[in-house]
Amino acid sequence: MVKASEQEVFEIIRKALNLKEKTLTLESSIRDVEAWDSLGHLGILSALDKFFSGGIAPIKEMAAADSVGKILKILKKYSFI
Amino acid sequence: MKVQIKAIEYYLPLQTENGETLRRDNPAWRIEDIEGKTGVLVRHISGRDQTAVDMAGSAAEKLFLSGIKKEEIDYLIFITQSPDYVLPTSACILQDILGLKKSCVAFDMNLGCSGFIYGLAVGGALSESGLGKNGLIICSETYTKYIDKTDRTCRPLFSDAAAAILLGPAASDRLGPFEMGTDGSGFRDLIVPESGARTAQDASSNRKLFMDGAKVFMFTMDMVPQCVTALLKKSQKTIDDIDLFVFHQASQVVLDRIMEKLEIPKEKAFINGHKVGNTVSASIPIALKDAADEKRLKKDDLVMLIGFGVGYSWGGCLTRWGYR
Repeated sequence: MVKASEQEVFEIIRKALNLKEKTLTLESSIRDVEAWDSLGHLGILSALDKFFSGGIAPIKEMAAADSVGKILKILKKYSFI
Repeated sequence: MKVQIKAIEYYLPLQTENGETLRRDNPAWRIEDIEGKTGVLVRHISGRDQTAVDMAGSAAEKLFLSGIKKEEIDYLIFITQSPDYVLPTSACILQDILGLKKSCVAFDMNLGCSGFIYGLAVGGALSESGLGKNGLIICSETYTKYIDKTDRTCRPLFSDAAAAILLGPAASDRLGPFEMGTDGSGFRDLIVPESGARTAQDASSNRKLFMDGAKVFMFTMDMVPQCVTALLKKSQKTIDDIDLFVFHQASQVVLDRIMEKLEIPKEKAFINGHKVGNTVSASIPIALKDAADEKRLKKDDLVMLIGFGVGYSWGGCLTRWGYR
């Protein structure tokens, strides 16, 4: 099973959203990051699934994880972190 | 099955929309980002008074112009989720419009993006069993009539179209095996909520499409690779054995991830969503026709077709390309 550090997950999300600077925090979400809209969210899900070798796709609750904190919480729950 | 696709024609409405149209109606939308994710540059929009049956008629008449005889059509399977009426069956109306014989079996199939595969399975079974010989499978959708101009999830994706396919007997096995499935627990994720008997209708009913894009995306990332893998196993084939993969043209981000997961080389997949959009059940036959016209398909090529989406419903099959 592929694992990641919290910092690596921050980087995956930042790159998926094409953010140049490291501005993401645990509270960053679909509501306050301009690039994180419904399509940006698909980019994040796709990037996470790729990083974790397809391990994310079966986790349905990940679809509703619309903040960095929520994503990390689910990844920890399923032992990806 | 000793059945094959013998001809395909399609019809696209004349009115089109592109990124500029979206920008004009929704100045805050970042069109480049949207086009990058969806891959869709042009979408076709049915006219105000133009229905799925009208477009189906236009696609089918193109087939008949190519020399196919109406009296030889034994069944008509009409795949749509935008029927002219709740009842009667649109296929019955279409039988009359097309002037097909009265002994022609005609029925609708209410499926979306998996619909063409189901149509092939049922039509193939009819032809194989002898209940009918030659049949039409017609996929026609006017989803844009269900979509609000400000809907950022659905409007940049969906496009109206009709595709007509002639299915008939073959001398050898040219269709199948099939791999199909259903997960109705996802029915709320892609739905026109106020559309059927579940919701009391009145004159002010708001029949708009709702899509939870993230949930649908998770479904496709999970289930489509499983479907492809199961179909390869069932047919005892590998990705190398397949000459061309034709997926439902859902969106670029979906197709990219599916191909990445399955390690399908880009040159083995045909993609035309950029110029026709997501046309629901019509997308696979339209892609097949374009692939043949662009010489990406030649006679006897082994093609894998995969449809997936609303329901959730999915299906895949193999076919030996039978003409040109």
